[in-house]
Amino acid sequence: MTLDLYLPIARHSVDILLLLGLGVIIGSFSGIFGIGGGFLMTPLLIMIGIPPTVAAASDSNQIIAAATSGSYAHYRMGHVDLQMGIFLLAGNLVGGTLGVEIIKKLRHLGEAGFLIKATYVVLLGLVGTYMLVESIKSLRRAAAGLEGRAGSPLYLRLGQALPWQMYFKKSGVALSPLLPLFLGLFVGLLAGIMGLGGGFIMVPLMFYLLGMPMHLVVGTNLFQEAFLCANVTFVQVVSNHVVDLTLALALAVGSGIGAQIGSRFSRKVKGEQLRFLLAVIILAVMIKILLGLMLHPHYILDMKGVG
Amino acid sequence: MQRGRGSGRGGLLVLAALVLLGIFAVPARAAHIQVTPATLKIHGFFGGTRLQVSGEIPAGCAAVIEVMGQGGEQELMRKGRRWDLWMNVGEIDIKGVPGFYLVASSAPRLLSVSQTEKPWGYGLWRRRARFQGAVKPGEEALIFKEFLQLKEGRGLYGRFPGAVEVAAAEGGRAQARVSLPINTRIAPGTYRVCVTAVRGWEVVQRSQVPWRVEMVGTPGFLTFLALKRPVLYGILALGLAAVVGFLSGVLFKRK
Repeated sequence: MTLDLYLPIARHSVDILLLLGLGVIIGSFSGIFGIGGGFLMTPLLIMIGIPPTVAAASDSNQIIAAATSGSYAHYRMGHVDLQMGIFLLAGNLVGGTLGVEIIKKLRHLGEAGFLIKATYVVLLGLVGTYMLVESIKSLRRAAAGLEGRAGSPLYLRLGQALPWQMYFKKSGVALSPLLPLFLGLFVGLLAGIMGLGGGFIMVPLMFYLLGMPMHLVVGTNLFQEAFLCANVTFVQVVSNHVVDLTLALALAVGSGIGAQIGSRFSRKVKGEQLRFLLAVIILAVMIKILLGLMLHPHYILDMKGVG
Repeated sequence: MQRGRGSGRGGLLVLAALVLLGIFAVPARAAHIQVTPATLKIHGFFGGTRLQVSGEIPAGCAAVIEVMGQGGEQELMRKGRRWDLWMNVGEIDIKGVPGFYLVASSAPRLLSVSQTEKPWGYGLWRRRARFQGAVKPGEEALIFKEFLQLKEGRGLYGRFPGAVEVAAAEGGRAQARVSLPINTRIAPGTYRVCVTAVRGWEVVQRSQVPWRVEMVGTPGFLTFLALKRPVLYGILALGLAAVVGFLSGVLFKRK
């Protein structure tokens, strides 16, 4: 017995328990890893028959709930660096707007879909492999009883060489605010092109490039991602009319609960274990997208703007 | 010379008129078509439905029942292999075909794929389809076949040979009846339901009625907001998501 929920913008019905379940699972990833989970949720929504454009836009809407819930939970635990978050967010908003403009141009050239997927494969492959190798090294060091982290000294030296050095008390790092600004700009640009919050790129870069402690990375990224996704959602609503509020709300209820469960679970897991798990998920998604590009599709035609 | 050509044309016209009269000869009593639900109302928990269609036809005839959307342009993307990877390689527009089409018959032979010249079925749309865009000469049949597969996969096209039941009715008439699946992807709008009576391969009666699909209640209201009041819809979307997130945080805090 299923209870179908009609999604008027997607023009499709989906079992409400399935939507709530997806929300809880992906929301718990948000709470654990500090990512919005768009790179996981959007492909899953497409798999259950939601048109890709509606899936991506409605997902950014529901991420607001997960990110609000998760960042609130992390804030209560003192795991949000507001000072760093604001610099990241400023760069992210500018980058995101530029990214949306770039993707509009690419769509005119007719290669946007392929370029988006190819960018995904390259970025997820690089980030996932680096995180996997680094987290395994850290786990081995921890097992051997050695202190310290596997951050790149080159990155840290770069941050310290830039002008207007500033001390970020909460994170305990001294660096130029230009670094989080540029980082936000770069990730926002990619996120705008790929239509996601970009947390899966932002989280590793905040840890490795900004040198922030992992527990602060999670809370701070959720904080800035809530605002970023609000911006993306509003633009999608006004310009493209592709946000399905019914879908977003059903997912949001699930992800809001999941984010709370995840943030509690994250306290029980060590940083290097979190990074290892996230690296495995990132690489699995990368392989899935790569196979989608290589294997013969079920249909050689697709409805424009739908498939 | 002129007169000769004219009389030739006249003869052809008379012949064409006779053929058309033979095909579309409608008896004095037109088919009475009943469609249930008379109007399909898409509500918040709509999960698809079955459309019951019945129509009177002359006794001894076979029947073809069709449900079709408005003919228009179908915009498609074509995938192709480049550098060993699958990607979109161009756009294809197919004109003259409906976005939604279901056809059922009492006799399976009436919907056989070889019957392309009949005024129903996929063959009708194959004849009417006009292709534009990334279609090479000679590829039309392949593209149309792929188009049908895509539409059938989405539940927007369907062929049901032998699904129509014909039973005797009063006054030397018969009643043709079918139950057709309506997918949740059906778009709101006006559709046509046609009942065709066939004797041998000859059409003896063809009648049609309009059929409406409407979005009502919450889906109707949200669609109106999304399309006509996007700013309000955007504020609602952001506000509700933030409230849901915040409330779940507060609820868990209490526990």
